[in-house]
Amino acid sequence: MPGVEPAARTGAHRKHLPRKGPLVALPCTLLLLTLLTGCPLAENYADEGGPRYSGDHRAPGATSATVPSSLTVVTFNLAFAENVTEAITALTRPPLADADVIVMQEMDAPAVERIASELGLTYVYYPASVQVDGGDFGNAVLSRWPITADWKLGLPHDDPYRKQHRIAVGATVDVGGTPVQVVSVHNATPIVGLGGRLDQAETIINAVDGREPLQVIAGDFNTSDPGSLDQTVKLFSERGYQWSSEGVGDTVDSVIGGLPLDSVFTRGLTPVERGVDRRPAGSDHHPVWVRFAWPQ
Amino acid sequence: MTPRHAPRALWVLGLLLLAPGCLSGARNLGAATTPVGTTEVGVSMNAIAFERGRERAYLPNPELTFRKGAGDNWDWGGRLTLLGLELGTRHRLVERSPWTFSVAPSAGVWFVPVTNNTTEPVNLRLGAQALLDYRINPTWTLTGGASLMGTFAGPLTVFQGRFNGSHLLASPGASLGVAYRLNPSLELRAEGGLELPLDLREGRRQPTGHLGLSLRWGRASRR
Repeated sequence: MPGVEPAARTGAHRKHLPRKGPLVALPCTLLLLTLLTGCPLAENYADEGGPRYSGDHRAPGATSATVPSSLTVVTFNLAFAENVTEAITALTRPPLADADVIVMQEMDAPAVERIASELGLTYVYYPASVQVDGGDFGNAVLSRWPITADWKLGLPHDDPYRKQHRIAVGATVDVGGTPVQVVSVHNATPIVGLGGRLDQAETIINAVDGREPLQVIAGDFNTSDPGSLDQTVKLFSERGYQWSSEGVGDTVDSVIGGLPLDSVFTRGLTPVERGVDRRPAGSDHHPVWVRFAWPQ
Repeated sequence: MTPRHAPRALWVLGLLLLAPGCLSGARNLGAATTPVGTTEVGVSMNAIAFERGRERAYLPNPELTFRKGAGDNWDWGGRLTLLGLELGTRHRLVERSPWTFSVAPSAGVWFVPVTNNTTEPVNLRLGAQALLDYRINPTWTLTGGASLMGTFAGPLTVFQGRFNGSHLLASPGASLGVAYRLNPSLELRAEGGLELPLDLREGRRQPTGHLGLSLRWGRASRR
């Protein structure tokens, strides 16, 4: 009966259509899980002692015999070490020029080597993990003064998505015969809860406790979420540190505005001047600098 | 709002949206089961207290709830938050005026992207709550609750079969509520409670608490 076939087919077709709910829900669930877990796991450097990179590009006898009148410390997260030329330009102009110690984060070995070479510094660098693009991701301490010892410190609480591990890098800097313990910090992002990031900061404090009386712990503490900077400062204060970069303001420009991520904490040093160099420097972070009176 | 306040406001908004979830033990239930053929829907506004960093923090946590009468002595239902869903039944075991005693087992799945000392956004909860009603008069009812929830809490990598960083928790809890019947189909309930999570491997965690108001509306279906 060809005359009735189309109507009958339409009705039957409509009547026997499978329910779409499960058909839609399953791909949506799979898509959601794919999006949530799509980030590949980070490749971390689990070795407690390495890999380690170092170099010394200081002019022979440049500073080792002199005693400074002040000590300038800069902390700078160079955003995956992509814009090294801009960073070097920034680090060679006042107020960053002639910094005694520069602690850097999100670095790879070639970038640290190039900066140290062009600025005439000695350095130590440890990568923590490998980025998606294959480049290393780690912390460095660069210094105008000799580095006499260095270490890598693994921090607790890997991020829950990529399992990316964070580290701190410590270096003993011999400033005119006086050892200064310097630590370059890069804590986890707020995807690790504030308690976890405070644990990371406390791990660093515990690691340097009892070392040299002059200490600088500086870097990117990822204190962007409300209350995180206050609790971080409180933790350091309770352990006898001074927030030497207090009052410098936001250190990062982001799509949601300025954020105060980078800080400098010290023991045994008196800050006399501090600030953020907000001119373009090749990163979303701005370099933070603090000038300390050198103890006589 | 100045540009300087914008990031803070965005962060607070993000926390409001993302932080609640399994942090809330609020169920805003009484022991009386929903009658057969009746569906109750409700909206709750809870304030939850939890550990943030090394201090206590507080957040509002809105929830939608529903219950559907399924038998003379039991109903089923659940609660829906912004990033979680819990379903369960409630079974009336004792009815001796003015007392009613029920048990409400439930299972839930929650996504908690912002955590604190541990990083475990995926939360699966299974447990039960015992509820005891004392009807003061036709409009006022007091409810005491005791609960025990088991939680699997892990990172997103559990979906890739990697369970490193996962935890098993047991969370005993207690709650106290008071309900006021505004009319035969509308009930207002206030509840406060506390949960004491215990990591089965690493010991006690910080307690979480809740305080909330719930408005529940019941409607009998036409036959």
